[in-house]
Amino acid sequence: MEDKNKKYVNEPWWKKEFKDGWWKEVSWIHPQDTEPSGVSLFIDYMLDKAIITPDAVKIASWIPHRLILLEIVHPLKGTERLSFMISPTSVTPGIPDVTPDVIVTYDYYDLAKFLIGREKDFTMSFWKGHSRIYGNLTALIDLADILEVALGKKIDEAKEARIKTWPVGYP
Amino acid sequence: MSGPLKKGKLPKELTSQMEATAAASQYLRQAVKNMRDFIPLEKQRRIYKDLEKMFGVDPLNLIDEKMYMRKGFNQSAAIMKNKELGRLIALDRFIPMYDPSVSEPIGHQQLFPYKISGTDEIVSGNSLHCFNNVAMQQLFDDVRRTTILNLDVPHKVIQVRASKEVTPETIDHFLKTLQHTIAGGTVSLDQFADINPELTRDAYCKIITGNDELRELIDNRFSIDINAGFHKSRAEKLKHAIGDTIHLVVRAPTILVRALDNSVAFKWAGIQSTLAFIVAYRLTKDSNLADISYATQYANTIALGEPTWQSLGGHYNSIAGIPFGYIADMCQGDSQLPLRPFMEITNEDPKLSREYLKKSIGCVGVIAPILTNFWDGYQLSGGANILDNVVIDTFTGGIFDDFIDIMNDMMNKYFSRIVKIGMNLMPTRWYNLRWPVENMVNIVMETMEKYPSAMETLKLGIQKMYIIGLVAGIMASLLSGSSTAGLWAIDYAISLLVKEGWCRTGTTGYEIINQLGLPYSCSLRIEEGGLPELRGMNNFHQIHSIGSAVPRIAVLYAAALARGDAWVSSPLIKVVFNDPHLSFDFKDPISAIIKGTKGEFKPKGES
Repeated sequence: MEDKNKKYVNEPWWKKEFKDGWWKEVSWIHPQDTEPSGVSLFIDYMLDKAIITPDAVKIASWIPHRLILLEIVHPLKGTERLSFMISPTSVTPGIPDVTPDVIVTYDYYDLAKFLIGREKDFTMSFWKGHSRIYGNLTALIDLADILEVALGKKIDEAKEARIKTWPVGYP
Repeated sequence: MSGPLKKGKLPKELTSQMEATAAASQYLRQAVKNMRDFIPLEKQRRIYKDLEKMFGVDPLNLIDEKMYMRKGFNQSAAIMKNKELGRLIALDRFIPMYDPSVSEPIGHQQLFPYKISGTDEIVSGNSLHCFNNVAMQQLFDDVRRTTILNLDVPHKVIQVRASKEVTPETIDHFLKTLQHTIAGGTVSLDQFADINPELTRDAYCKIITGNDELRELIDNRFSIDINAGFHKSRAEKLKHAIGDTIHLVVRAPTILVRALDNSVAFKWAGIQSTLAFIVAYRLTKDSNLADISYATQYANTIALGEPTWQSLGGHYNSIAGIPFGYIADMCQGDSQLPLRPFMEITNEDPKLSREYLKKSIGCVGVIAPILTNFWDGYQLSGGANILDNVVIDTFTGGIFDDFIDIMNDMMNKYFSRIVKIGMNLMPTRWYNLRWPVENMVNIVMETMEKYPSAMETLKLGIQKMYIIGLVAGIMASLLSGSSTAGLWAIDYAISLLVKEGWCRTGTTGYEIINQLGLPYSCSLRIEEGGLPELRGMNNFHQIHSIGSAVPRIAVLYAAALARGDAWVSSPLIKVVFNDPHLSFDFKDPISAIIKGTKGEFKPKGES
């Protein structure tokens, strides 16, 4: 018999996966009392994980110049913007001065899930429809390669995962 | 900057100009280097190999080394043969006839042959004209001479009104009588004239039912065997959908639609079935003939095509009246492949998913363009030979197939990852589908710009839009399983993406269709669209141009393929065209067309 007193609440998926204080358990996030902003989360990851991984630096050197505008959308706090440049690499909060190759609109908790290693595929959020991109898909694949290799993926695996038409370094 | 240069430090304006020039040169050098780096990659593509065979030179070559050295129409053996034939006919009848020398000089243009994609066949453009290729005409005839009648209503009338018993034996007798009447035989009075059976040898009828027990009780020569024609997984779904109902498929003789009109096939099916009922059940002395006649001819009769609007004069079974979903259901290429959602297949094995695409989209890419060409290439426009060369772009030169290769690779490497989280389809939201479509269309446009030979093959804007619309629509439908999303993608790609990239689209109203198409793609109002599966060419904004219907048919098939459905809009139509007795091969249409190019195809309706 159905319980008529039961309340049906459409709880967002991230509330189950991200308990309060989740960021305190991650070693590379700078200690803080409140949930880190999307920009600080990404910059911490780049400084403390990606840049110190030799393979990630190596694969970044093969990729042509890319300018990526990353929009991190927090379901409660709104949108933050971050300009990410590859070859040479730089990460700057805010929007870039020139037209980026691609604008990536990423869900905050999907990004956090990837950066802390619970999801191995950076692009999964796009395929399942949580996040979206506007512009050159190869630039997104390049970004995914750098970030995934920093998380432990082998360079050969990254090469094999690309379609034949767009090998690493394809403009 | 103005005035002569002076000694000392160069002015800032000049240095900044020099820096900009140096940066541009560096960019250009990098671009050239990249191009050299990626040429080996290009050489592996199907488009490179096929176009190299068609043109006999490097298809990426920007320079035509034989320019001004060709001999106009003399370079084509097919045209020269026609010229000689035209001369002989003119001498015979004393009136000038076919003579290519009256046409505009073609100058340096190469008259290239066509390579059929996926085969080694190289054929002349002339042999792919629908009047020269009898296989194409047979396809057209096989469709418009088909009518479906439901037998349950007349059976009920015979039982209730005429108090006669209907049993498997009487049905057998009725079907045997009907084979005689459909072939033009008389049953009511001996003194009437009969048609010579040699002229109507391709006329026959068969029944369809989803009930295996019932089918086994009836002579198996008179039924379409769903179990034999389809893979088990498909057959189960089709039989369940059709159920215990008995449908009669009538193929009127080809001579009927040739000598008169396709609407006669519809009427022929009704009247000959009524006569067969009267004779088989001995109803001549009963007072309920009108009931039997109505029940057989009109109560539940399915014409493939509805009449078109009045000014165009298309009647029943007209190609323009056939819903796009029906045309998609005629394609039988993948009938023997197991039924599964496309994402699952591509996640498992890219070669297998390419096989699915070859047999499904590849089959639609042959049948749909040829059929619709008869309407918008001839009945609508009056006929212009260039239109025949437009529709064959889906199965010649390897261009369309190459884009399908890339799409398959993309699906396998990227999009099919959603299978791991239990999804088979991407959400049907425009912002989720727009960027895959944009990237796929960018690949198509880049390829066309990179390959001068592809531009030469798809020389008209209309041809480029035809291919781009197809690729965009199929991509969106394969990802989402939604035919409406496919329509969004077609219209978005042509009316916005291509216009942004190339500033223009095709000629003859292509922009009108797609700009109207954007708001109309979601409309269910009849004058604006309706359900994508039930739309057709009998609609003012769908048919302005040749080939514009083909992407709208292909997206329906792609959506069904993505969902893992056994049919697109009608299980009946799917089964009706899975008949080994049909003259045209709906399972392997390209082989029939190749036979037609060589004069090896034997049409059954012309003895």
